Amino acid sequence: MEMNTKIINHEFEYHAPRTLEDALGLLRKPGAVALAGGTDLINRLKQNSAQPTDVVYLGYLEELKKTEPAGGSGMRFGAMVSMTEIEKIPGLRSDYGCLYEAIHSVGGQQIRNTATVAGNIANASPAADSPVALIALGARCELGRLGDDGKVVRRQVPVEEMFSGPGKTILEQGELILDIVLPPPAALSACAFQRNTRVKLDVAKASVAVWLRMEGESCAEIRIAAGSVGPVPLRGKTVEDALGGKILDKEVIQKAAELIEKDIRPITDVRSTDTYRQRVMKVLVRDAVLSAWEQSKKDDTMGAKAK
Amino acid sequence: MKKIPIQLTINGRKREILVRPNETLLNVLRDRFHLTAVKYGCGIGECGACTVLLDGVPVLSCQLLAATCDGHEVVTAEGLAPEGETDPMQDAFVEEGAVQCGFCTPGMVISATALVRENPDPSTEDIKDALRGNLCRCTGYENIIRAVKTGAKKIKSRKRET
Repeated sequence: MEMNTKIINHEFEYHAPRTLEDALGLLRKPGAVALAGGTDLINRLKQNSAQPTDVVYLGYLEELKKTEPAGGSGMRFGAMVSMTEIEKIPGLRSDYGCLYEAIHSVGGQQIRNTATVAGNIANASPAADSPVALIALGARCELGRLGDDGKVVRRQVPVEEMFSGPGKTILEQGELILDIVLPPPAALSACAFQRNTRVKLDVAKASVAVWLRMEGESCAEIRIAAGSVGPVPLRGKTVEDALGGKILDKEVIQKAAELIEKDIRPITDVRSTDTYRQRVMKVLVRDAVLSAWEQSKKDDTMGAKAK
Repeated sequence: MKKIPIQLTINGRKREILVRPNETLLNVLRDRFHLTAVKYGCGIGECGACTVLLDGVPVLSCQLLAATCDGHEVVTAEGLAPEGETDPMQDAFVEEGAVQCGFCTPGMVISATALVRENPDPSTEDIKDALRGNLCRCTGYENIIRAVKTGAKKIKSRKRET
C-alpha cells in the first residue's frame, strides 16, 4: 500500500454535534464514524483504511467528559476523557494500578493528551494496552444508541465481550461507547500490568494484566487478560483455573504461568514472532501474578483501603 | 465537502479561517500561516516533530483535524517568546548544544516547556518519560536531557526575579 501520511485525500462531511442525541442520530447513518481523540482514526484516514462518508466529532459533548472518582460504587469515566486526564483521576493509580500502568505505557504524552480509552476499545487493535487491564479489572462499557422515541437507549457490556476480531467490535451502527465503568475495589485485591516492547514508545509485542483477590493465604479469585497474542484480548482461563482457590507461592505461580500457552494464539507479525510471544508470555504472566500477589500483602493496596 | 469556518488563536493572535473537513492542524499551521517550526516528520504520531501546545497541552498537530480545534488556542515554537526573542528553554537548547540537525528541536522544546510547567524540577527519568514521544534522528538525547534541566533552572530563576 502506498503510504501517504501528509494529507488526507479522502473526503467526508464533518459534524460537531452539541448534544448526545444529535451525535447518536448522525452516527446512525451507514458510513458515519465517531471521532474521539483521533490518534488511530486520522492515521487510517491518511492511509485510506477508513473511508467514512461522515465524521462525527465528540469533543463538544460535556456528558462524555465526566469522571467519577473511586467510591463505593466503583469508578466511571466518560468516553471523551483523555488518557492523561484518566491517569489523574483520584484513586485511579492507587486502586486500579494496572490500568494506570497500561494507560501510561501508551505512546508519548502528546498521544495520551488526546487519545481516549473508549477509542482504544473501539479501535479494537489486538495490541491495545488499556483493554487488557480493563478486562482483568472486570470493567464494563456503557453503550448508547438513539431509540425510535428519540431518547438514548443504554446497555452495559463487559469490556471482554466488546471485541469480535482485529479492528472489529460488537458495536452496532449508531452505537457509541459512552462511559467506562470499573467495579469498586475489593478487600485484599490487587492488580498488575506487564508489557514487552523494543523501546517504550512502541506498540506492545505482548502484554498481560492480572487482578486477584486473596482470602488469607489462598487466591479466592483471579482474572488474567493477555494482549497481542490473539485476534482479540484473551483471558488466561487455564492459568486462572490452576491458581483459583490455591495457596500461592512462587513455585505454584511459576508452574501455572507456563499454562498460558494453552490460552493464547499468537501470530508472527512486524513486531515479533509467534515463538517469541509464546515464550515471553509465560514470563510476563509469572511476573504479573507475582507482582499482584506481593501487592495484595501490603497495607497500602486497594484492598486494605477499601476495608 | 463543505468548508468549515473556525476560530483559532495562534501564538496569541485570533484568526478566522475556512478549513476543509479533511485538513490537519499541521497543514494549516505550515501551509497557511508559514509556521515552519512545526515539522512534518512521520505524519502518523510516532516522531513528535509536529508537537504544538493546544490550550497549553502538548499534542500532535499531524493527528488533529483543524476543524476540531475550533475555539482553541495553539502555540507553536515561534510563539513561545515575542517576535525576535527566545524563551529560556530555547536558550538552554542552544547553550547545551542540544541542536544538531534541528528537525526535532521545536517539538522537543514544546514538550519540555509543557513538562516544566507541571514539574518545575524534573529528574532525568521525568524528562525521559515526558520526551519519549519526541524522537531525535541525530540521537542527541544526552544534550537534550541536559538542556531541559538547564531550561528548568532558568525558568525557575526567572520566576523568582519577577
